[in-house]
Amino acid sequence: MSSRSRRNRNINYDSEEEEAGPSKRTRGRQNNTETSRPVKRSRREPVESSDSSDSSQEELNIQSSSLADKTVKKMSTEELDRKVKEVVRLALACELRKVPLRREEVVRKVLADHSRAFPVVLSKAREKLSDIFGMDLVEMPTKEKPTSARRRVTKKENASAKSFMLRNTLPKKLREVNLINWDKNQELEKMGLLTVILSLIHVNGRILSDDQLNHYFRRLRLGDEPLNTTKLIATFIKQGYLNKQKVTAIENSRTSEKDPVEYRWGPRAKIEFSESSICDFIKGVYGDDALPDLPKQIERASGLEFKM
Amino acid sequence: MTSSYANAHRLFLQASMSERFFTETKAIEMYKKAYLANNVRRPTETFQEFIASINQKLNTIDMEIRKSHDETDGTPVWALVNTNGDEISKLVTEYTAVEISYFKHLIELIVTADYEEFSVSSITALREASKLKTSITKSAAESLLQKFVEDKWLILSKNGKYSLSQRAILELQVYLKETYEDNLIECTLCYDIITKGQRCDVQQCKSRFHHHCSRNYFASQTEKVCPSCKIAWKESNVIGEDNNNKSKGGSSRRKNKRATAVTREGDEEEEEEEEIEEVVAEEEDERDY
Ligand SMILES: [Zn+2]
Ligand SMILES: [Zn+2]
Repeated sequence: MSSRSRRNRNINYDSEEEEAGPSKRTRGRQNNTETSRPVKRSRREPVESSDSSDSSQEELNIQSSSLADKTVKKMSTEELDRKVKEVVRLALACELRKVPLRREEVVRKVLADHSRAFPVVLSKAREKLSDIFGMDLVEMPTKEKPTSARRRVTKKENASAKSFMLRNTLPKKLREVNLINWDKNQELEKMGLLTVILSLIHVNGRILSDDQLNHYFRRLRLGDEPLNTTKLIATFIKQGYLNKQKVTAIENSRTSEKDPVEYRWGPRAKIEFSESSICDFIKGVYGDDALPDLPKQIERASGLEFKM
Repeated sequence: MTSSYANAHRLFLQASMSERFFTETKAIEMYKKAYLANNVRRPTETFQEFIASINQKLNTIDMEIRKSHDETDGTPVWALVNTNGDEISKLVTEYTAVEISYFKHLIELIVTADYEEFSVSSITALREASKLKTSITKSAAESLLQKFVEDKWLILSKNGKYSLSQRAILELQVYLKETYEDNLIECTLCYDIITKGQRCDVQQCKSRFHHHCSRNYFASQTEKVCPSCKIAWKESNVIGEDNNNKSKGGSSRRKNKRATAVTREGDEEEEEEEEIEEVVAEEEDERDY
């Protein structure tokens, strides 16, 4: 191990770099276009000061390496530790409100000038979360966009639009344990309704129109009392459990229905609920009446042509 | 690894995360259930050891499970708290910038209340809402106050006065101590922040006891006198709302403090404006989501 890589060992920048794409050399330039702030700052700061023994060698190295590497190297171990802590707490706070932790938010609130250290900080934060809480910080699946309607997104926008959420990684048996006797069963009721909606979407070819959903609500006698379904659905959308999409003209003619909006599983649902858990839920609803080929039926009803 | 940290601890922590603030009875129940869920009939650690193991881990991310006593009735309570003073930023995730700004104003009114009343009347609280830079309507303020009470940040008394809840004292401790160093007082028995309790009859004496601390202390004493000045202790001399400190010529100690608080507020308003912009941008993003 060279002295340089040894010094970087704690930071592990290269090995953690997960965004495919530009080579080391071009990363600096990319950084430059992403935001001008870190670059300006790093110019003002003295170039590499921690090691004096082979400073001339170091300078040569720096000239040939990218600005990105320099940005990460400047972060002391304490600074890195602090940023990891902050990301951990930010992730916990987001989870409490069930909103995604966005890469952009981490950069703005925590990393600031060290935005290129994101992969390093993220992986260290994941270690902490896993060790302490038994949770993993995972990237949320991006929402499928109707290709016709949306403009092409550039790679840069894609990277900063990344968002993350916590996933419970304790054994399944433990995940089902509820240590708290909920005083208000409101939370359970809400999750119950969500499971019903997700199941309905799943067995309807993974898409459910507004009209269909309301039809089911009427059949299930879920009016506005006691659960305000409209408000709850808005919350589920906000929390990422449901995706609501306007039906575009083309799709509309294909399905020959005139429903203005339709619902799909949101990114959070895909992480927190598995298809098998939905299957179990539906089996539970049928109880003893469940036919042995129910799982097959559910699979068929979910429509394999609609790939998630 | 010899560490006893295991899934029982993680399960307990996950539960405390969603609960944030719970009684000790509940904490012990959670601790037992956490072991049972892992098929451990006899916990390998006592409750104290269990909490210590968790806190050892939590310390590495500046968090802690902290014990305190509810000021109103002395019930032992626990909360998962941040220890580095950015609790207010945690609030940002629960409320909007305007709501937090209002909450901060309420804290100010409560902590700087005259005569150690540590409370604010509904009328004053509502009037304050209109004084905010981004003022909120009376009805919005009313429902917000209700939300602060529901979320256990504030307590509403029978007489319509708002005071800090034990959750607020526990979780916002660092912020409170940093911001209102001169206004906050500590219980001279347990050294925790005190906003409801008893005080010595002598104006100059600094003795202040939580009700439950007072009860515990005098239970082991032969005489009911102030430990500091030996004057007879009167339980009717209270700290908190509607006390008689004013009639006793108590000082409206906050006058000079109020001035500094106001300058501080000037800076704060600017920060708040920035925050509001951020939050607005955030909300737009979410809608887009
Ligand atoms: Zn005390
Ligand atoms: Zn005294």
